Amino acid sequence: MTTQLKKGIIEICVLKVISQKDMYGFEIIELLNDKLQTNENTIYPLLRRLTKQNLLENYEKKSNTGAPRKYYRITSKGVETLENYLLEWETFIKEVNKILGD
Amino acid sequence: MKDKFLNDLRLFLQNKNVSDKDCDEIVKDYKEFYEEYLQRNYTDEQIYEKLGTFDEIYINIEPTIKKRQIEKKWQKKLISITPLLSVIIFISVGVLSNTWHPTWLIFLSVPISGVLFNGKKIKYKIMGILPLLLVITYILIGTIFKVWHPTWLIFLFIPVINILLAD
Repeated sequence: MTTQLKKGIIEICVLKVISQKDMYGFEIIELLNDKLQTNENTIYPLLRRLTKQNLLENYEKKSNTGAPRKYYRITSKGVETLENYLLEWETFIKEVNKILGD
Repeated sequence: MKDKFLNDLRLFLQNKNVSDKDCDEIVKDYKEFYEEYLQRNYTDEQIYEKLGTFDEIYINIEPTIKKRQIEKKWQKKLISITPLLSVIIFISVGVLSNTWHPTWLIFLSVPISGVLFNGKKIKYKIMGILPLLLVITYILIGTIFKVWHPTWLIFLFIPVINILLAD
């Protein structure tokens, strides 16, 4: 899969997983690394960009060990953007499947 | 090893002129990642490999960072040359027209140029230059028109402007 296509899909996935529950950076990286073979250098810049675009916001919370963790949560703008992305994705997949099915 | 990694990362980012705020944020985030890996019993070598080289880190986060404002070369040269120019003008005017006062005010161009060309936001430039400009204005009005009072009232602009422009 091309890097560009993968980056776009990873963005949707990041918004989706965070929309389900607030997560800290490493947690997101571990989850997506397991499923999509990504790493910190893909996910971390994406989290920074989405935060600067106000699709995510972050806050600190103490971990079990007492060290602070940066948690990310989706904003209302992020929810709206995710809904649009998912609609586009469903339409896209439907059309691709039509072509591949032919 | 963790501290070395983070210190080296900070130095790397500073050399790339990343703003102090972004630098602190990025180093703090990578400290969190490093500690999470340590908790999962990764070795330092494994963590270094996981986190990637500093070049890889920088290339990926570059679109999201702010660079420190660097003074342009010509601005630096202007700041450096202002003292010399001030001395030349002061001595020339003083010798040719015997007007040493208020010609000495030309020396205030030294701090003015430093504030004007130091690359900070415009409001900080205004807050820095205003007192100097008011001193020049006060001295000139007092010297030329002999109106020292109530001209001193212009100094009240300093706290007013500082309050209006403060963060």
